[in-house]
Amino acid sequence: MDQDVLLAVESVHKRFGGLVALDGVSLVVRRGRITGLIGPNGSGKTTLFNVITGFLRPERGRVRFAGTDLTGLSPDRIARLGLCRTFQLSLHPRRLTVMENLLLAPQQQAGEGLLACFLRPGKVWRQERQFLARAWELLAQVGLADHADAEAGSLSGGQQKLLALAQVLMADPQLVLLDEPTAGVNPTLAQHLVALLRTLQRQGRDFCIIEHNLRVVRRLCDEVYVLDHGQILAHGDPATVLQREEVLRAYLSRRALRAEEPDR
Amino acid sequence: MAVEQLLLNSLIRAAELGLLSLGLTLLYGLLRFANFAHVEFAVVGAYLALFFNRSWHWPLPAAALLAMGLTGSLGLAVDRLVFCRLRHAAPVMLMITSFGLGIALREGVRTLWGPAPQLYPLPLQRPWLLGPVRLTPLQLGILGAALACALLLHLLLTTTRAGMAMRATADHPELAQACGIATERVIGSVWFLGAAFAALAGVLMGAETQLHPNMGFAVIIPVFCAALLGGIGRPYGALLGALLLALAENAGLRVNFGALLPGGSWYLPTGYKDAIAFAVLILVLLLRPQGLLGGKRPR
Amino acid sequence: MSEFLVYLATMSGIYGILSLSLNLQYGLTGLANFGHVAFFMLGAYTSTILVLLAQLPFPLGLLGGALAAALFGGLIALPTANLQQDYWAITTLAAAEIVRLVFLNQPLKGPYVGASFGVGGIPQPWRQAFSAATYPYFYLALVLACLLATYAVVSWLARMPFGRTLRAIREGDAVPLALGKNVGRFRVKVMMLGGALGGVAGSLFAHYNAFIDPYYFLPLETFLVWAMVLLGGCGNHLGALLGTVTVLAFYHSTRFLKDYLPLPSQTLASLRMVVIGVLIILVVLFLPQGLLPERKRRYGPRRPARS
Ligand SMILES: Nc1ncnc2c1ncn2[C@@H]1O[C@H](COP(=O)(O)OP(=O)(O)OP(=O)(O)O)[C@@H](O)[C@H]1O
Ligand SMILES: [Mg+2]
Repeated sequence: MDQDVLLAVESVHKRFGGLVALDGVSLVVRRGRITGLIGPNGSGKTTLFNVITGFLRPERGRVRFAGTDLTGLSPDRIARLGLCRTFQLSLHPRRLTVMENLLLAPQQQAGEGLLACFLRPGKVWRQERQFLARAWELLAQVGLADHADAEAGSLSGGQQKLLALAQVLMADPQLVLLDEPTAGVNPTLAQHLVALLRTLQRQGRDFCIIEHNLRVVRRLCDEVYVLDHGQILAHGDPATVLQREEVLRAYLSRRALRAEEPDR
Repeated sequence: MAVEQLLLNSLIRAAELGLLSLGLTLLYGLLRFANFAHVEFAVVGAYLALFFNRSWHWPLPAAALLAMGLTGSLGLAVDRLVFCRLRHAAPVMLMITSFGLGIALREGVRTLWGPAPQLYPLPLQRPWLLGPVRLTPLQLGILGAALACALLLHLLLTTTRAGMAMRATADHPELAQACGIATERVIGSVWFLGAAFAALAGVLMGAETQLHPNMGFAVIIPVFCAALLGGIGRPYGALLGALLLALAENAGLRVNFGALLPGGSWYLPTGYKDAIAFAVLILVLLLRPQGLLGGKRPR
Repeated sequence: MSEFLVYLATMSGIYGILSLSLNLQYGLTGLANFGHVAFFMLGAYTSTILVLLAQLPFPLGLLGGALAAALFGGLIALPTANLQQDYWAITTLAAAEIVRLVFLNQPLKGPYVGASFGVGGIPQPWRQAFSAATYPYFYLALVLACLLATYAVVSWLARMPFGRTLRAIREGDAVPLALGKNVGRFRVKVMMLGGALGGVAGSLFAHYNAFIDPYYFLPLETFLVWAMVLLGGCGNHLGALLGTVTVLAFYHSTRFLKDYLPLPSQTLASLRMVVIGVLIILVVLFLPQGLLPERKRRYGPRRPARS
């Protein structure tokens, strides 16, 4: 297999009762590039993320990540392999504070072991201090540092998206799947986010992003897949793909002109 | 005991459990509300019927009807007073509240009527002998009443607006909620019907054996088991589940498990009858959590 | 009167351990454990069997009770670890009833010990070392020491990353799973730890009461503990203890009320359960946070210097 390929989805099928949500989807995410996934509402993007991350089982097809077959693995196993995702709707614990949400994320925390809590408190504490430093850094980057002690549930929709992003970065995965990271985020901050994701990508982290805002897609993605009715309609570099007629038609027919608005 | 007799006993048990699990399964499917107080409506109904029968000298069927109406109204009142404020609460909050309500109802009955078992003043039952089967007029009455209720429910579900809404909700909980089908009126009818049926089940159980404040809580596990076995939100499933569970209970005590080993002989002691329902419950949850008829519930 | 107060304090200590254990499971982790009394029962019976029938010393009985209850907790958590809250409630309730069925049907020694006859003459630990007047105080001290240890364990864990993950799981599986937490394993651990603590409470109860039978362990007991935790404040350990004392004081107050109310004591006993049932409803409706709401850890605005 190609050394560059980090994630490979191979002809995945998923149906909900009579509804075919994914109809033979194949795609690859390569190292060192930001991959976009676009498509009209209900085209199956979130379902594809759910299949990749093990939250749903496909009827057919397989998913490979860094050489490992993910089929049949539980979501937490997949996350521990270095593949994490955010959710379209904010699901993170609302009664935890923003800071606690971030500290929750790191994997392999010594303090999560029942015995270690009692037998190795020193190690737990040292780790906690490292995580805390990193969490402050991330919070500053997404502009939430002033809200560290606020309950996550009290944030606005856009802020919750930022929290979800900071949280998943805190988990330090190799590949991050982001489900509409800029939805509800104010325009200036969205610009800032694009820059942040770019920086992180240069530092060696890979991203696959579901995004409705085509302007963001153009600026951010190196490669883009268009999903419609559970099938891949087109893929390639954003400049060319977003020119293609069938793509525009699929988009325009259901999203009307809203997709081309600068910011929703 | 002949197999026919075993079948008859199972039918009677199934009638009682089925009537009780109907309301439970409908409400569960509609609101994702596992109502732990549901079985207590049987206790309330049974004792109300006893009261009308004894103090007002109404014949038992009439007393039972009035008790059904009153218990149904009690269900409605409970929803209006307590549970309608918790429509958006987490399932566990609903469960714990219903448990509190269950304790209050049960202990309320105990306060009013005392802890000792009581009997309906029924004439001595002379069984008819139908081949190997002994059937008392009372047992026939129980089966008849349960059958009548099942038919009534069928008519309600297929012909009335509320009934169709209930079925639609059971089929597509999310959709139905999005379309606003799960309206307060439908919820109210389900509370009324469920509590009234439970009251009838209580009267039947009381007539068959005796009345006791714990008679409802004693069957809570079988009742939940029947509802889960049939599939949450499925009224016919609940009846089927009750029948299968009753058969399993009656047969389970008569199977020689020792025969699995050469020359062994071991029967499940009768004290462990309730363990059968528990075993079925666990198996259903592990193997087929959606139940036999593929129940659904809102998330 | 002081005799009664010592009794109330001892029972509050025992039930305090139970509430802390339920608070760990429900308050912190959100597990709808409706069969909590099973731990209490297993602790009581195991310790009784070990100390009375097998003639082992009390500390071993205590340990055995804790172990048995922990094993049971793991056993019911394993198949149900990934089920939804409502299924948990039903299975745990049912499992507790099955355990009770076993003790109700199973004679322990000869035909008249165990089963529905109960077990009497459970030895009181270190009884010889004290006079009849001082022993209750010693036992109270023993119970309070156990309570203190439990409190230390539970509140230490709540402040550790372990507790943080539990509080995340309380609000749904999706995010913890997506972050790589083995949610089922955490649940099993919590059920085992909570079970062990409940087992300790059970053992302490058996040796205090010197007699147990299956009717001490009705599902009603579970809800007494739930009432304590809900009233005191889910997720707040001090609150759970406050709730315990409040509910128990009310529960035992009928002892005095019966001199003032012209009601038979049986009626009074039922009435107080009606009150507790209504109390649960009222707390859920009007005081969902309990008397002492959960406290939040603050991190800002003091920031550590960047290195
Ligand atoms: N759990 C589910 N059960 C039944 N149907 C589902 C489920 N999840 C998704 N669907 C359906 O599958 C289709 C694809 O949904 P999906 O959420 O993947 O779309 P999407 O591309 O993410 O849309 P959006 O842009 O609105 O987020 C939709 O028709 C949706 O209704
Ligand atoms: Mg989506």
